[in-house]
Amino acid sequence: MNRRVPAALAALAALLLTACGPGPDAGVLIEDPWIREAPPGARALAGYMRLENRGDAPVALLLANSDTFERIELHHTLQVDGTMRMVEVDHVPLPPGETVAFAPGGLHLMLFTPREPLRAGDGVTIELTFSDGTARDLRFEVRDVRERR
Amino acid sequence: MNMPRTHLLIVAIALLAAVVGFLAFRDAPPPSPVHQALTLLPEPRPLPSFNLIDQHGEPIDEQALTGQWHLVFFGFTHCPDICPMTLQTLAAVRGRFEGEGAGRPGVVFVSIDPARDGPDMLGDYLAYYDPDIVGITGEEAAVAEFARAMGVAVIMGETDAHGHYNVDHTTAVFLIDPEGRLAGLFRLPHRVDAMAQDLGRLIGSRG
Ligand SMILES: [Cu+2]
Repeated sequence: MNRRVPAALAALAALLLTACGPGPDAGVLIEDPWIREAPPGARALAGYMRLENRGDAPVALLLANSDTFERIELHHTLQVDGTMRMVEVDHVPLPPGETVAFAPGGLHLMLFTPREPLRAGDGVTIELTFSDGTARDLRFEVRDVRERR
Repeated sequence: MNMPRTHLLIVAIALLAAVVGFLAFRDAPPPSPVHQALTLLPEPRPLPSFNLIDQHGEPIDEQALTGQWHLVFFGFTHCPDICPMTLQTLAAVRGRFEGEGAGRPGVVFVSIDPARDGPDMLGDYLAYYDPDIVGITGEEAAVAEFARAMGVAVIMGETDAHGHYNVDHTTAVFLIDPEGRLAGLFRLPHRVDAMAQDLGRLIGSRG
């Protein structure tokens, strides 16, 4: 009888945790992180992902860092009157309940100067830092997205 | 009693409409092909002349853009988002015309950042997408003049603390006809299917 108490308590605790929402990682859900494979010698690459803020409070993506790259910036590709501009953004707001996509032709992680050649299938760890003080290590998969011929 | 007369009137009006319609459209030109992605110029325009170098370091001028259709795009290799997407699309469009000989469009990439995109850099970069893509670079002033003459906006960004800069540029893809004239352009978004269909129709109609 006594032996069952800890198990029951654990189950209750688990139930409460789920019911009460944001655990340590439940705030921002990050899906499908990937890096576009670049031609050999390319000095700048782009990283993409989807960020869903599942919490009730606004949060923002502030920084991205990786040992694999010299430096990472948050960039937005803008198209104005047929002209393409790439601009650095200071942070990316993630309103509660919304999904923000880093996708080709729009927001991207601007990955400067890879320290080693990256080929499709490689994994790259990038640390994302958020405005709530949390940081997350994420594995980005390098993908070759050329059309097969 | 009035019914037959009304009917007659309707028949007469219908006949008249048919005759007017026939006369109006008899001499009209056949409808021009409907393009999904391509904007054709009313009249093809001669290309500005240029003297630049290709990715092998060989001299290249406007004569290289004759003899087949060409798709010309201006970009730079430090651009990891739009430029790869466009090159990938153009390589795929070209892939759709495999085995069509002179009917197969050529692809040309002009670097608007020749200071960083020398022939070697350009050669490696373009070969990843298709070794047959022609890369054009050269003296900064000469490249800038060619871009300007083509109506391509090029805005060199400021160099940041890390020595990096961006180059804002026109994203349109120019279509050059086999006589080496600017025939039209493809604006964003660049989609393989739409571009290949438009090109196929145009190449088919002009032989
Ligand atoms: Cu960028």
